[in-house]
Amino acid sequence: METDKSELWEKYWKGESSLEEESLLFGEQEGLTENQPQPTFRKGMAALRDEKPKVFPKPATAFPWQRMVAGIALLFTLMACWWGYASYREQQQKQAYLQVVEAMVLLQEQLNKGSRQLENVENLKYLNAGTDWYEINNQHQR
Amino acid sequence: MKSFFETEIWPLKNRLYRFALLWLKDRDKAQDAVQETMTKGFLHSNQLEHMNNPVGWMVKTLKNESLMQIRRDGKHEVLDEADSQLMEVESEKQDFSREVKMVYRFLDLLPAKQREIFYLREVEGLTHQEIASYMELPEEQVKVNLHRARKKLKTYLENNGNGQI
Repeated sequence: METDKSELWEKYWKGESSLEEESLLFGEQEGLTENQPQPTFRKGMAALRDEKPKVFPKPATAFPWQRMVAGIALLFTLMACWWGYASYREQQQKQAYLQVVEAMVLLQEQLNKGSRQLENVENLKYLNAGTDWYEINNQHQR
Repeated sequence: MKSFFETEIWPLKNRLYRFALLWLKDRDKAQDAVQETMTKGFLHSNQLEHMNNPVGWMVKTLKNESLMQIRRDGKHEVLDEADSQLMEVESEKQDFSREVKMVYRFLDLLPAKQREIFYLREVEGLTHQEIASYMELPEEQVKVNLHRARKKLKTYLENNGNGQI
């Protein structure tokens, strides 16, 4: 038994021992004091073995979820933008039409006003004719 | 049905974290390096699925990420020998226990390859074959390096008062 163990140790130091053989070697670790390097070293390795990362999201599950949600959100945003843009354009067109109509009405009013004023100017020629008649009559009387 | 990434790559995260910790000796940086590596692994999972040794690829990526972390810190000006950088990060300043510091002190005495192989065997408990695929080395080289590392450990422990581990 003792020979087997020394053979195992020899294999261990040569780096040729299997994991099972090593577990046999390190299975009998009791009875050693805390201050000896042996348990300290093994304890250090065990502490290293216990080191674990903090929880972080698994890309495989998190990624498609996020992509899907992001895709839907993007689609909705684009639809909302398009709808907003379309209604804005429609409103702009309506406003432009109303402005044109208003401008036409104003133009029509101005034209009517101009025509009326021209009529008065037209009447002035009759006033001149009257003056002419008056002067002719005066001359005859003299 | 679970994807290749979920079954083969994601379970490596704890082991990769400890491996990164061996190089970086800083929990936050090791976490960042593993997260980056996992993201890359996920993005390349289709290619990894058809690789002979996806674990080796992950380890190599993690090593590159760890190197980038070290370079970002600007702790090392000479960047010729990548492996030498990975072993020079001080462990004394971190909040590790006395026992862990002792292990790191010993590991720091070893050349990079021996250190990694020794670590994968003694801490992670991997077989020679698994270590060979992790390190992308022939199995014989793993045995030789492990033998050398254990020889050094023997001397180290003898100098510290006890011949056996």
